[in-house]
Parts: sequence; structure tokens; C-alpha cells
Amino acid sequence: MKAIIQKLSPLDEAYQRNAAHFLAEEGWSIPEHCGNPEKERAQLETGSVLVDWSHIGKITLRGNHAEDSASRLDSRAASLKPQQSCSTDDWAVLRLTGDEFMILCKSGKENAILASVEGDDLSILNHGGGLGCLVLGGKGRDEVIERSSAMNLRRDIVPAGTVVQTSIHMVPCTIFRTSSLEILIHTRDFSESLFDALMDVGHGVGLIPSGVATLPVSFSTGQED
Amino acid sequence: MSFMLTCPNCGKRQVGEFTFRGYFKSRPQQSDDFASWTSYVYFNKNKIGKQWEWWNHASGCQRWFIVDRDSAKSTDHQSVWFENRKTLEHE
Amino acid sequence: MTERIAQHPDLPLFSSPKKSFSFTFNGKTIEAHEGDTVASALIAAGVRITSRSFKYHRPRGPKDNFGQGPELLMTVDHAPNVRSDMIPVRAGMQVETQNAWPSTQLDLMSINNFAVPLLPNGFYYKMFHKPKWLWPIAERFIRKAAGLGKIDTQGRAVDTRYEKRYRFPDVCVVGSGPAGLASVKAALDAGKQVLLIEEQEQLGGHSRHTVFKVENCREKKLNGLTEQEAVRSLIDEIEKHPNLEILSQTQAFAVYEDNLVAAQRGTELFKIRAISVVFAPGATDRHLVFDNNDKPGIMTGRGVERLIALHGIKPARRAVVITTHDGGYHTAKLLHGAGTEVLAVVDGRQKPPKNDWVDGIRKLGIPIFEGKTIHRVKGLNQVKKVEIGDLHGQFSSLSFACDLVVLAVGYQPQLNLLSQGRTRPVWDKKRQILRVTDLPQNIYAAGEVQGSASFARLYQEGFEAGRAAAQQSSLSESQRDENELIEALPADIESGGKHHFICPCMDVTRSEACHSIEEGFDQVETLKRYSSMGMGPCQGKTCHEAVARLAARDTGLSETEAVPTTMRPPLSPVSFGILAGRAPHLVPQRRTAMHHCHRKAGAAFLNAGQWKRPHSYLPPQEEALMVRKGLGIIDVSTLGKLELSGPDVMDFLHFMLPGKFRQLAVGRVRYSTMIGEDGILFEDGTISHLEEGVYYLSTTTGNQAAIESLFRWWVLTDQFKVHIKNLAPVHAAVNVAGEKSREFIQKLVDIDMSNEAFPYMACRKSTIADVPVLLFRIGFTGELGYEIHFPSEFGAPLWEYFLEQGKSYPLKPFGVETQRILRLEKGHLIPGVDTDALSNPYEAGVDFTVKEDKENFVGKAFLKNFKERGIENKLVSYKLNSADPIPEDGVAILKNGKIIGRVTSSRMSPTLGFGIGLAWVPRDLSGAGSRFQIRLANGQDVTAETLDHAAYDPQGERLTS
Repeated sequence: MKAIIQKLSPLDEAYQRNAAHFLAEEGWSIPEHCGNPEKERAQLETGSVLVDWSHIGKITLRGNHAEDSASRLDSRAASLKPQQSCSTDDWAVLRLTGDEFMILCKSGKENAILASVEGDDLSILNHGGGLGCLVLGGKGRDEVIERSSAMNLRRDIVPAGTVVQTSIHMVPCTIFRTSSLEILIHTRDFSESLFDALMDVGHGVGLIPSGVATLPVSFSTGQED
Repeated sequence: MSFMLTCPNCGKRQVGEFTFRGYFKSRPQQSDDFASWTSYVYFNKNKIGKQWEWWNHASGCQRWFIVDRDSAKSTDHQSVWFENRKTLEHE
Repeated sequence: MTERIAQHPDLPLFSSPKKSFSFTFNGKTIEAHEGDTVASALIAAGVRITSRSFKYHRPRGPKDNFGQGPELLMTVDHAPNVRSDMIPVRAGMQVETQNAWPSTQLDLMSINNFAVPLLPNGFYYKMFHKPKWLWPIAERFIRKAAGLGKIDTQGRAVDTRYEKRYRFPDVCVVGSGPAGLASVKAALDAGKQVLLIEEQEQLGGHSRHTVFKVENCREKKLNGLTEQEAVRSLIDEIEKHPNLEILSQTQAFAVYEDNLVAAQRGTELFKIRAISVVFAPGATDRHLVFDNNDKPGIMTGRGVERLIALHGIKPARRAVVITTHDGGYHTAKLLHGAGTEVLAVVDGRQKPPKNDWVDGIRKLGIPIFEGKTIHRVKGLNQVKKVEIGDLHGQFSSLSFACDLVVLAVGYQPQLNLLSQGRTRPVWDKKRQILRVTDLPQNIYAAGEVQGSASFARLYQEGFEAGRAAAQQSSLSESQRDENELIEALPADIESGGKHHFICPCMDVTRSEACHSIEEGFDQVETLKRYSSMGMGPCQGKTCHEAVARLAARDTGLSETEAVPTTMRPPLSPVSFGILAGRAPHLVPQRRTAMHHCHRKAGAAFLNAGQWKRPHSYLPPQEEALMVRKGLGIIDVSTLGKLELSGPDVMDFLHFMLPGKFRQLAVGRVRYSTMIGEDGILFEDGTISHLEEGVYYLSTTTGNQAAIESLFRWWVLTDQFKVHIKNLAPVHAAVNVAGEKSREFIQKLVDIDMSNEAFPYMACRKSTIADVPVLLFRIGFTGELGYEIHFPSEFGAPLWEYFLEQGKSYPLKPFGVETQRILRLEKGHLIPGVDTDALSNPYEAGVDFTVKEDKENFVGKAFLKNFKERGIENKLVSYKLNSADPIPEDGVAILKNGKIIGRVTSSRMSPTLGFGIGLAWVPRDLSGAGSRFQIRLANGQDVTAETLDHAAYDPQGERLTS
């Protein structure tokens, strides 16, 4: 049965302003592309794209038993150090600190994840719309990053698979780096400001907004591109 | 102020990512006299040299930790988790 | 006169530029060549007077051509105070001189030259201040007479997009002369990522215009080449290295803790965090003080060489070279080759050495005078004659008629970046220069900044520094041979006359400095500030050595105490635009999930910290009545929301909050305050028992993050076993208020909303349109109402759904300002607005939230003390008479002309028809019916009456209905 009330991303208005075409997924309205899917896909080679993934599942586990709980989903979680991750195409387990993990998953899979990580004496928070997610992809994404963060994000120092919590344009973000993407998770209140700031510094270096048709949701860290 | 403060979880970061709570002080017992409470709340040693301080990585992992920092030379500091404070060389 | 030259016999790499184009200077069209700076184009066109000095309006002309002094500051394309010798000229540029009227050629303000010496030193501190009314008038004239460029108030300056860029190299090298290039090479060889910063457009430093031959260099292939060719070869070798980034036309202007180097390039600010930094900023020609040492037509040796070798300009018809080392002979040779008649080389050394350079000058028939130096120059607006004599200025023996005097009397290391607030330079007796030797870890210095030396020595020093930087190891002491040292002349050639300028930027002469010392400013720091020496655009780059040596001498100190004042960032002028960058991004805005609904509904917004919140949709007075008489909905998503659970949750609540909650049943809500360890009220909110062992605490907007952080600190230090979830962004929230609110919501939910089933101060769970919601029946506005919390992803669609479903009432949105009026009618305080850092809960009237008989909780000790001391002031509600004007927030309460309290919140009550508010009054005025006097901002007084209950619905009947 179709839901009476639709779920909107905190970036809904920002993408509307950029002529986005939306699609429905798991009750969410999410940008598919911004009017020219071929051109946007080609931009990955010459510049970079900014895509809204705010509909993905984001669950944090916190407490002394967080590691046990995360391991029930993915056994590799137990051997992660803080700021490391393990992932498949469908989910990513990010170890933020000794006792805190963030799990990202495809939209609609949250309940299955929650069921596998359930446990006692554990704080489990399914953020839903409380966190926004912007993804930067494309060969030119470093040009945008080097104008956006005061933290050293050199690729030899922060390799693919690393998770860092820092700020981008004064907005606290959890950055999950895969071999081809920078996934920026942040509190929803800041989403539009973060989008505006990235587009402002990025438009001069080949950044354009796009949607999940250009960058479909996938968490695998894969090979370096 | 532009020094890099070390977070025990995240490593060296710009000091602007952190917030400062104040000097590490032991909370008096409820039964102690009011003068000890006034000292605890209002008085600080303000010395030049190493001292224990509470810092929080507000724009990062958001964890609280203790820093043994030289107030005259901030680059000279050591950061530990609260549980490990006894490992600091200096009281 | 100046001319362009087509070739030069001694410069193997000389080539004539191919392109030429034009720009305007004070309205006139001037021709420029490719590679020109604005200044070099003007010099080639024959401009001799380029500015007027700050105080005296004396004529000034090009000196060093290196961006050091104030002579070449001009307004370029409406941007004031641009160093015209540092920027490449572009076609169509509009250049104008500054601080002269009607022109630099004939500046009427030069009357100052005669008037100011009649005024005492530092006259602006002493004169025209009595009577008091005279100073503002005098100040205006003085400010108009002094000064540099005009601010471009219309913002016409060409490029105004400012960017911040970040870099994180392993090794950052500042300066690309022989030492800098060698450092880069060594660091690259060690496999490091290197960033090279160079202020000029081209790399190479002073070697670009030097034709001494390289000998004994560790890089064997450079031996036998001229320095010019040697650096060219080095640059070609490293330029394309994949681990090297070169930032040219970029000036490093500051160094901060932990190797943060700030650099500017055009309108970009580079913030560079390097693991190691090598400074090879070089040295500039020494500033010499003698009579009329600021006249146009006096240039430095390197300044002249730059014009000849880099811009192809013959700088004068007849020149005299004043020198104390071989460099002067090098300059003389280049001048001769460019076609200038060199009348003499005046060497300060008693016995100049016999070598190719000295002999070469003799062979050209140029007379050499030994043991002599310059005494004074003569000429009205520019040099016409120079007089020379003994080194102490006593006997002037000879004079020459010429249009250029070249000063090549040694080199001053550019110590600013090395020193910057960390260490003071010291006078090195052997090298006769100021040096910084005490550098922090991972900062290295190499090259001429340690004293001039042969190419090979500079290269060696640079290479070792680059290697040490790559390895983060220590660097061995710098060495200099006897033949590399340059003896310093006396800091001031005391040849008589009144115009011995120590600080050309600020027009400070030796006699003024001496007068200041006589007045008691005999410490170099106070002397600097009183006389303003070294505080001009060059920030002491030209004069710091002269200031230090003369200040020491004139205050009777020894040479070892000749130290300049502390140098601080920035090295050179930096515009505010560069520092601000993309300012909007520095303060990100926070928006709720319903933000755009409010915007589309035409709401006026206000800023609540970083948040944008609707102020109101209609005039607030009208909106408030609408809520009282109808049905309203407000977006309260910005509230903090913490969910607390865990085995120790009740102990935790009892410790953190001043009240008692063991009896708070599931489904009930209680109002609570928060008190600090100092007993001061800083927060209020509600605590709800959602389900067994799970509590929900709401906090004010401003304290969202702070409360969570504070709680986690206590959990850490006192080891409470508590789980804290920050649901502030996870839940959006609205408040539906008005007597029809129950009826309206009952239609949407599947639970019993009757007063019996869902009483006041209770909470329930339900769903609305399949969205799970939490309902809280609380009463900030004083009407029957419900706060509804739901997942924020449904935000805007659910808000529209409410409005749609409520159309028949009609349900209308209301804003924060309206809510302020409504809560004021109920006398509800807002912490931080109605209370401050001295308010304890007893005075604020919320002592019912404090249960002192608890064993141990935050703030207990101070609360006990406050209770024992009793209260002096109280926060009370008040009302005014109907026709009275409404006081502004924050105005004073008076009694017998003395301030006894203040109004914290004040509004007109649309419901009651008179003004109401909250105010702090002394205890004896806090009883019901007491009267007190409020003074409005316009001076009018109104009388207020204290209320001991809420102004509106004092029994709270509407709330609990």
C-alpha cells in the first residue's frame, strides 16, 4: 500500500532548484538525475558529481557490546581499529571509536540489519531522516575536497576504506572514503548549507549535481580508480 | 592558536575542532565545607607549565579526554583517555 | 634617462620581450612589455616620482623594485596600496598614484615638509587636545594630510572572489634562490612531497640577475656556469617532478604553531600544514641612513640589477655606485653594459681585494675610491648631485653630478618569517647582520638569510636543510668564510643635515628618534610605538636593522643589545577579503525539515543561533489572538531531545536534575530545570517517562549539543550505566494549540484523547497517517495543546497534511515571536532571556523544581548556600495600564533615580489589552500589587504592578480542560 506521507530528503528543495528528476524508493523521494543523465555520467571522467543518498539506512551502535553486536552482522567488524571500515555492496560497517559503530545500508534494509545487531546493554539508534548523506564522485573530486576541508585528506595518508570525523565547510561530517567516492554523512539541519558550500567552491572545478542514476548506492570499497 | 591537538581516537587535528571544558579538578565530597566548593567552582591555578585539562573533540568523534598540556607551549602535550590518566608522567 | 635596451654584453640569457601593450597611469597611456611589472613599465617610461611620503609628502621614487618599501604603492584598478613592483602589468590596467594633490609632481601638501619640522615629535599626541573640542577638528585635518590610498567604497576592484585552499606537503620550501632550489632537490631525492613557494613570477631569486661564475658547487655540472644559467638549469631539472608543486606569485606572509604557513596568491589564501618547513627567503640590500637618503634617484644594487637583467631597462644616464663588497662591482659592470655612464665606484673598504671584478672595473676606466662612502645627495625633487667622504661623515671630499646613486653596502636577511613572535633576532658580530638562530623543531633556515655567501655555499646549506627537513633531523651550524663576510658601515653616516630617514615608510628621521629617546622612550619597543618607526607598510623589512642599531647606540647600549622589536604576522599587507574568504560558508545555516513550507507561506524569519526560524506569518499580535481564539500550529523541531535509558538512568536523572522522578509514572511528563555546579539556573525543559525505564528529555534550542556533551562527561567521570540517544535531528516536532486542538487531533489518531484518558502533563504514542508519533500534552502557550514529535523524514509532507486536515477550523501556522507573546501572558520564563549567569532558581521563582533533600546532585552545595542567604531580587510578572506604551526588552527599573532592576521580556498582550512582562525587582517589590517604575528607552516612565500569578488564565483552566 502506498504510504500516505512521503519521506523527503533534507536536500529535496536544493535538488528541486537544480531541475532534478525524482524517483520513489522505499517510500522516499530521491533525485535520479538533474535532467541530462548521459552528460552527468560523462562528468565523472572530466570533473565530479554531487549526489543525494539521504535515503540510505544509517544505524549507530554504541556501548561496551557494540563490537559484539556489529560482528554479528559482519565478522570482520571485531578486528577493525577506529577510523577503519569493512563493507560489501549492500552495507558498510564503520568503526568510529572503540565503542561506537555506524552501519550504512541500502534503503529498506534497516529492519533486517536491526534484527541481526539486536542485543542487550547496547544503544541502537536508527537515524532515518536525522542524518543527511551527500556523495562526491568522479575523477575531479579531489579538487573539491582540497577547497573544503582543513584536514589532511591526502590519499596516501587517508586511503580508501577509512572513516574520519571532521568538518567540511564548518559542518561536522563523518567521511567514508571508498576507492571512487567520498560519502559525507552529517546532521540533516546542515544539509542545504553543505550542498551550497560544496557547489560554490566546486562549480569552478567541474562539480555538478546529479542523482542515483549516475551514482547508484553501493558501499564496496573496491579497487583504486 | 593554531596548534594541532592530539585526539586519542582520531589523531592530530586542528585545535578548532575541539572544545575546552577547563582544568581537571577533583569534585569535593557533598559533606565538605562550602569553601572547598567555592574553590572547586571558581578558583583555578592558572600556572605556566604543564597541567591536566578536559577537552572534547566536538567536530570529530565527540569524545572527552584528558590532555596534559604545557600552557606556554601548546605543541608540547600528551592526550589520554580518562581511564588511562594515571599513565601521564606529570600529576 | 631611462631607456629600453635590446641586448647586454654580460647577460648571456638576456632576451628582448616580444609583445607590448598599453595601460593608463594617472590618465596617461603608457607602453608596457611582456614581463614588466607595473613599476618597471613606469620606470621605462621615465616616471621618476612615484609617490609622496606619509607625513612630509616628500617625493619618493623606485628604490629596491622588490616590494619592500612604500615608494611604489599605488592604486591599481581601484584597489589601494598595491605594490606596483610586485604585480605583472596587464593590458588596460588603470594605475593611479596616491596621497598627493594635485599630483606627485607638484604636491601642494609638501608644505608639510616645512611645517611639520616646526611641530614637535609626536605632535599628534601632545597638541590640539586642549580644549577638548579642538581635537576632533584637528584630527580630521591631520588624517587628511597623512595617509596612503583611498578605500574603494564602491567595490569596483576587479577580482573579488576570495578562495581558501589547503595543502599538506611533507616539506614546504619558501624561496627559490640557490638555497631554496637545493632544498627542494634534496627533499625530492628523499622521496618527499614538496611544496615550493615563490613570491616572484619566476623562480631563481637573486641569481636571476647575477653573472658571478659558480665554483666548487657540490652539484658539479653547475660549476663554470654563471649563476643565471645555473638556476635555469636547476629549475628545468626539477620543474616537472611529480612530487613537486610550485606556487609562484605566492607570498608566504605568516607562520603559526605546528608549521601552519599562510600564503596569498592573488585572491586565494593558502593554508599550508607542513611536516617540515625550510625558509630560504634571502636577503635584500642594506638600508643606509645619510642626509636625504630618501630622494628619488637612489636605488639599491639589486634593485638596479633587476631593472637591467629582468626588464631590459637602462636605468639612468649617469650613476655613482656606493659599495663595500664585490657585489657593487658586479652592479657597476651591468650598468656599464646597459649603457649607463658609471662615474665612480665608491668602496667603503680601505683595501679592496685584487680580483677579476675590481680589476675589470678599473680596466673600463671607471675610477675607484677606497675607504670612502656617501655623505649626502642634493637635488629638489630627485638626485642631481652626490657627495662622498670618509666613513664617519666628517669630511666631504668629492661630489659628482649624476641622476642615479646605487647603494650596494651589504645585505639584510629577511628574518620576518623566521622570527614571527617566537624569537628575537640577535646581532651576529662576525657576520655583521641580524640572525635568528634559535628555531623550533622542524623549521629550518638556509641561504642568504644566514648571511651572504657564494653560490656554492648557499647551495650546500640549502641541500643540507632540505635533507634535514625530509628526515626531520637536526641541521648542522651554518658556516661562513672570511671572504664571504661583508663589513657593515656605521648605521648612520653622520654627515650633518636634517633628513636622515631611519624609517622611510613613516617618515621618521634620526633627530626625531633622538628626541623621542630624550622624552623618555628609551626602550626599543616603546620607542617604536611612540615614533611609529617600523610600523608602516614594509613592517620593518627595510629599516629594522637600522632601527635596532641606532636605537641601541642612542640609548647608550652596546652592539650586542642591538635587537629589533618582535616581528609579527603578517609579513606584508593582506587584505581583509583574503582572510575572510568565502564568508557565508563560515557560518552554516541550520534549517528544520519544514523550512521551505514556512518560506513558501511567506513567513518572516529570525536567527536563533545558527537556526533560521519563522518569526511570524501575520503580524504577531493578530497571530497570538488567532491561537487563543482558534487553532494554531508551530514548528518546534529545533528543540533538543535526548532519550535516556539503562540500569542507572534514575540515579543519573536524580544526579543531573534538581528534582525527584522516581514517582514519575510511565506516560507522565514533568517540567524540570537544570542547575550548574555553581547553583545557577541555565536550562529548562520537560522530562517524560515514555516506557518503563526510558525517559525523554527536551531542552532549549541553543543547548542541544551542549547538554548531550555535558551528560556524556558525567557518564564518563562518574561511570553511570546510561544510554544517551540524541534524537534532536531524528525527530521533527510541532505544537498544536487552541481550544479545538483535542477535537482536531482525535480525528487523526487512534488513541483516546479525552481529558480523562490523556490528562495535562502526560505523553502517549500513536500514529498519524501511518507515521509513528509521540504526543506530549504540555502548556507553554497556556492553551489546550499537544506537542507532536515524529521522524523528521516526514517533516514537510506531514506538516502539509496537518494544514490540509485542519482546513475547516482553520488551522494556521504561527511563529516564534507569537509564541513569545503567548508564553509571556502565562508568565513563563525562558532561561538565558529572562535569567542570566547570576540567576539561581529561588530568585527565578522555579524553586518548586528543586528538591534539596536529595543526597547528592549537581549544584546542591551552592543551592543550599543560596537558600540560606535568602533572596535579594526576584523575577516577577507584571502588568501595565491599558494605554501605557510598551517598554523595550532590557530597560531599567528606577527608584529615586537609582537603577534597582530591569525588564527582561516585555510585550503588548493582545488578549488582555495592556502591556505585560517579566522583570527583576528587589524583594520588597515582589509582592502582588507592588508598584514600580519602568523607564523606556525614550526617557518616558510607566508604572508597573507586580502579579503573583499569570496575567492570562491564572488558574490554568484552559490548559487542563
